[in-house]
Amino acid sequence: MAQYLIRRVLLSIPTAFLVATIVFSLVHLVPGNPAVVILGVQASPSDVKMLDQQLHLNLPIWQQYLDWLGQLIQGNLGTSMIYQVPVLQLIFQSLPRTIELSLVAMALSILIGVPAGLFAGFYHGRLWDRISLYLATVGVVLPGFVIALLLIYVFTYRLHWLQIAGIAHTGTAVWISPLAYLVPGLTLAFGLSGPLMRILRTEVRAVAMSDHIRTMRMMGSSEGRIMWKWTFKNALIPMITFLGTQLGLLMGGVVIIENIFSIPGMGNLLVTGIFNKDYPVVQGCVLAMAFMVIVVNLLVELVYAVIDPRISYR
Amino acid sequence: MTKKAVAAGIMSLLAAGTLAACGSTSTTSNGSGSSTPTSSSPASGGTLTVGTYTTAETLDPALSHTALDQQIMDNIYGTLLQINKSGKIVPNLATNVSVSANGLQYVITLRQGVKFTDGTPFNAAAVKYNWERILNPATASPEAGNIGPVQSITVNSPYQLTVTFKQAFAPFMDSLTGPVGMIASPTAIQKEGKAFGTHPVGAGPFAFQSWVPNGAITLVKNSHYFKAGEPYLNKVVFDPILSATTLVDALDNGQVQIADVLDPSQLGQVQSSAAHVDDVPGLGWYGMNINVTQGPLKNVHNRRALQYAIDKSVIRKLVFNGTGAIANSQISPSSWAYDAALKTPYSPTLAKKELQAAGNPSGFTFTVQAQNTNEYIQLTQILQSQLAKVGITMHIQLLDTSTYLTNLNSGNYQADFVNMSGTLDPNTSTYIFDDSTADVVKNGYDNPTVNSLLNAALATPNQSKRAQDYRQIAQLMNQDLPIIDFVNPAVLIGVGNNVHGFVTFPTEYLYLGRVSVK
Amino acid sequence: MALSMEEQIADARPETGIRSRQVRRFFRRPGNIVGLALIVVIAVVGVGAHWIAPYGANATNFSDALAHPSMAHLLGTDSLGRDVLSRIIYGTDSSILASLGAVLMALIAGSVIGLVAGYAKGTVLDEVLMRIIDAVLVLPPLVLAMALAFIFGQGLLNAIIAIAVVFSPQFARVVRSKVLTVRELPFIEAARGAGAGHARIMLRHILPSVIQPALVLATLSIGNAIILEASLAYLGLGLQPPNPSWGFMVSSDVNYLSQAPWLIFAPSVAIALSVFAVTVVGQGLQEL
Repeated sequence: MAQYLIRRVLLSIPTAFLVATIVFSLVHLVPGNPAVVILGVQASPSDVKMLDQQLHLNLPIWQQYLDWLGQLIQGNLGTSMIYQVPVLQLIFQSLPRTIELSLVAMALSILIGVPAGLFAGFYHGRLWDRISLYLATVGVVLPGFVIALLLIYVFTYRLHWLQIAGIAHTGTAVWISPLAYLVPGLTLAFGLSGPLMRILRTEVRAVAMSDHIRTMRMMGSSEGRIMWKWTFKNALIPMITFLGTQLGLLMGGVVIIENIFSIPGMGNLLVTGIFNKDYPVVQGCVLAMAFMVIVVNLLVELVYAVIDPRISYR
Repeated sequence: MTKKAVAAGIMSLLAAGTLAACGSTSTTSNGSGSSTPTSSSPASGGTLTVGTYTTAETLDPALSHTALDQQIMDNIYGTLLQINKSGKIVPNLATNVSVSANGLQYVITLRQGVKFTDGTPFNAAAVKYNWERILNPATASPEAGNIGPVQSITVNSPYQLTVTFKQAFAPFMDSLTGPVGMIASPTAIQKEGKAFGTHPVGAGPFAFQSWVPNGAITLVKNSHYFKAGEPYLNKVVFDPILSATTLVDALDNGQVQIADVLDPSQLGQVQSSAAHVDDVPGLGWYGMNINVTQGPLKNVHNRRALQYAIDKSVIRKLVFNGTGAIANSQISPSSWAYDAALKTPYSPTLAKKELQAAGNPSGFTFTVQAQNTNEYIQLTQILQSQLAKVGITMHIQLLDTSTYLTNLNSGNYQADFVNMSGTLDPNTSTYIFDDSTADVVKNGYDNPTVNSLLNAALATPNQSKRAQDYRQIAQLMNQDLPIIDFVNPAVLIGVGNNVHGFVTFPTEYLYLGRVSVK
Repeated sequence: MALSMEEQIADARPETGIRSRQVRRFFRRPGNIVGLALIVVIAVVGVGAHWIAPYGANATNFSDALAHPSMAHLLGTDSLGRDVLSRIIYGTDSSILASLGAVLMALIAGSVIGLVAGYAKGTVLDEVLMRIIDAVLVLPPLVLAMALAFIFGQGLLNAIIAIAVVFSPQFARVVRSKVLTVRELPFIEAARGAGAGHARIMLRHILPSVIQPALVLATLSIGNAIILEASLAYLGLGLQPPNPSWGFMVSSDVNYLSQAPWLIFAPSVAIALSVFAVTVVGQGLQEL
């Protein structure tokens, strides 16, 4: 098994390298010169030229690429052109907000999706089952920004229950003001909990039908306990797989949600980086997001290996 | 607030904090600020959070070019001269500034015994160091234009220096109230190097504490500030809240005490139980800058047709939610150089006549470039539908900041929109657009009469003479129309009801030295 | 989830052609009928926008801005006094066509890549193509689409290309895995023995038997494409204004959320209904 995992880790290295190359070329295809943005409208061509030299923008692109790659291998993501601080520092500053938001979203989606799925499975074909199926569909067919605006409208403007400016305010951590994470977290959880519910529902049905359960039922085990234990055990892997593979989508959602709620996380860093033509910041953010996806994919496989020894390791 | 968020380039020009009064003739100006009710004894201590519509870029006075940077820097560095509540220039870190009769020499006397917050003494050598840094081409300072054609800077004594100009430069006095007048610690500049912009050290009411890049900037009380008893606050946080609706929500909930600045669409959202809106006539202008060397707009009759076909009151109503004033020139009604007699009427009939005179009676087609923000999108759609009524087709090219600025710098555009933050000195609002030798805004406009009037206005310290020059310039500009002014926007700042002693200035400065919270 | 969906689709039965039994089964589910009816309505509205819309898409009435829904304006007016219903109607074709176009491009590009990679299994070409596909799949879809749309510049076509680039790796994977099973079948050997060239084998013999799973994935992707297009438009990276697009209608008036919620929610409902319709029908087709 160790061999299998090592092979998986090694396999992700060329992927990571390719991602880095794609990101570098993407960012350098962007038209326009960052030196112009930094200097503003009063800049003379000679000022721009001077800044180009300082930022090494005058070097041939392959040389910029090799320099950048060399630095990247040493863990150096470069220096932000606008803020003049290491990109890694910027990422570490904003990453907690994004991770907290993602975790809140996942937790909320489990809190909503799992019970809903269990109920739907137990009461298969009845009203509750249908309602939850329709709600799940609604979560899937609405873009994230619409869900966010809908929640803001209801909870902030109509009910006056929640503030929307919570996290924006000095980038508060989740344990300091958990309420602030509720609406943005719910927004992201909306889309996730539907599929989770379906997974649980299917498992409940499968377990309820299985011979094993019938046998246990005959032997007098309490119904609720059996269902809970077996369903959960069987549903765990599909749930982990699902949440793991959703990380990429979640990262995309985070960009829009952070934009709407003014949350100082990675998504916001990325968007301002794009609009400022701050190459190193954009590269750093996209790379960090991609690497997170790679790492989580690996973790999901690791969890598989631990939970389900039946998986064959080729 | 997209109002100024992306117009950073153009706003660089607000830099010269040029105010009305010039030299020793500190006469009145009508740009008085509106003030919040002041309590008899200001409470000391506490934290004030300012929600800002954008993120700061640099806190280095030699390199900054955005309004927000300057609002924050004002509180870190203070300025050599200051604009008081009634719009007069008063001493601050400089105790006296005298001008020679020919306007070529300025003798500046500094306050004694002041130290930068890193302990470095504040003196004439420090001022000289800062200014030579701005003048050094290697710094590429956007302030170079605001410091003027300096010939030499001489230190006379530890607390006095003389600045000699190649030719008279009347706005210099006003520049001392802006970034040129913000003096940084030379020790810190040398120590921090490139990082100085994120580790600023000055001698103002507050000392820099921390900056979360892309996030909050925290300042703490400078306990050695030279004004006894000030500042009242222990801490100031500038917190970027980029979404206009979120910013208002934060103000209403008391998460921020000052909303800088409010989007006009959100005025109705400010809850009177929590906060109020400071709506102060601004000094800037908002309009269209036309490249007179490109396409059908080369023809002055087409430009006049454009002006007649635009109903500015609609722009004021829809884009600015009824705030600000309809503009008749680049000079705002708050300025001493304003000419109320100028008229730029809306008249589709006259527009059609001008189209006739231009030789294209059925209209023409042109392209305007704009930054990709909701505000400009809204504006262009209003203009498109107004212009269509007289047969003018306006194409819109929405661009990212970088391409936009590159086009602007190379003159590769037919028309674009400008949102100039203002200063009371009309030079800031006019010079770079109207003067063909300024070589900053490449709109191809070249009128020798305007050039010489602008230079005459710079060379005279006499304000009434200068006002006359600027009025004449405005008239000529309204005939030639390289600029079509739509609105003189108001400064809209949301102020929490627990904030005392806060003054909203037409220059948009945000001095917090005398502000307290309860 | 994307992966499992692909695998599922790759396992779909290879038989082609729809039988009347399948058609009847499709219509037995009320959801499918509703979805199909919605698609018909959307198509009619999109094609006939010019005749259906009560006002022009950009007909401004500045004195009547932010009007509440009424008989004159069933869904109210926006911040420039334009009829919201009319703008939604006029926005239908761009929103729907963009998604269809993007999915079609992704289908073609992805199928070609998958076909070539699968046919060249075990070669360097296959390895390189699949590594690139893996790398692209690691990038968050919206982030990649944003970056691409930004590089290409604003415009509907550029947004379509961006979405297509984001979607094509999935198609490539589905097609490749199907090719891997088909290429070992005897009739391919036979064709090769008869002296058919690589291109001929790929296009005439392999393509017809692998295209069905790609088509199923395509129907399931349209909904995602609509959402992605709306999201790009929301971020200002879509159609050039003033032409209406649903996502952009939401973002341009987002500041009026509390004053005039209909400006936000009317186009949102349009997005939701079209995604719902294509998703339901896509799933219905997949179950056949």
